[in-house]
Amino acid sequence: MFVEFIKRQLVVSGDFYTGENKGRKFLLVIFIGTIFQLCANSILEAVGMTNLIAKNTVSGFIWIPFSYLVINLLLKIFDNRLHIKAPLHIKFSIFSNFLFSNKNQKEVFEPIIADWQKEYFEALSKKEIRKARWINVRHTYAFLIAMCQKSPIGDLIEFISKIAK
Amino acid sequence: MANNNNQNEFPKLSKKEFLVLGMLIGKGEMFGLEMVEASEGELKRGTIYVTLQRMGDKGYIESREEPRSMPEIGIPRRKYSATGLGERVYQTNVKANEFFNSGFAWGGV
Repeated sequence: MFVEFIKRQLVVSGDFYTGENKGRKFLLVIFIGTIFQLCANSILEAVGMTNLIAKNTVSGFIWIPFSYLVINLLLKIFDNRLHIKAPLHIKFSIFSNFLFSNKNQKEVFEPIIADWQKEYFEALSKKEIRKARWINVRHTYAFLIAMCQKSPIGDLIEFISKIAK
Repeated sequence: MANNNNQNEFPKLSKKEFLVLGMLIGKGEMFGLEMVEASEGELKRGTIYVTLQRMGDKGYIESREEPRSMPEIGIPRRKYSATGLGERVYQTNVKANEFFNSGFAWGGV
């Protein structure tokens, strides 16, 4: 029974978690997933779900996203290796490109991103990591404000303020 | 493209628009971030480009991509400058403000 359980964890982990840091993540998935699924099974039994297949299916569905979040969080905390990843402003650019028109993207969001990347890379080139993080915070706020202004909420606020005048 | 359908209407500038046009006329071409820094807190990073977009739609300013001497990765920044219409509107607003503050508007006291 226990062997079957571990095998199931291995199969799910192997399918779901691929990519960088595979070995370490894999072991963590087994460890945390096992603990969590045992807990989830106990809770489901207490609730009254005694069917083994139903119980494992339900706990499995809860377990997958939960383990994924927990493990990624743990890896972020304990992993001090260098990773190559897209800067934050690129992610925001993709997001705004999806939500807004090309005109708004070109005239509002691209200039914000251009300023963001300039300041960010300048700070990184001087090895000012804290400043780079602070720049990310400032520009994230600016970007969200601009998104708000260009959204229907912003139009509504502008309309109300015009009426108030 | 100018968006003033009613030519007789007085083109009143908002505080931010007035500030931006004042800087662009006084200092020439500027980046958005330069305007934010020069305004000493009057203009914000989150609102400057929305303001600039509106002013561009009204025909007060125009922009062009930053010239690059060598190929660079990333989005090019934009430089903004005032148009002829923008300058006229700014001067009109300056004169209107002077007139209003001179006391003449209150009966020439």
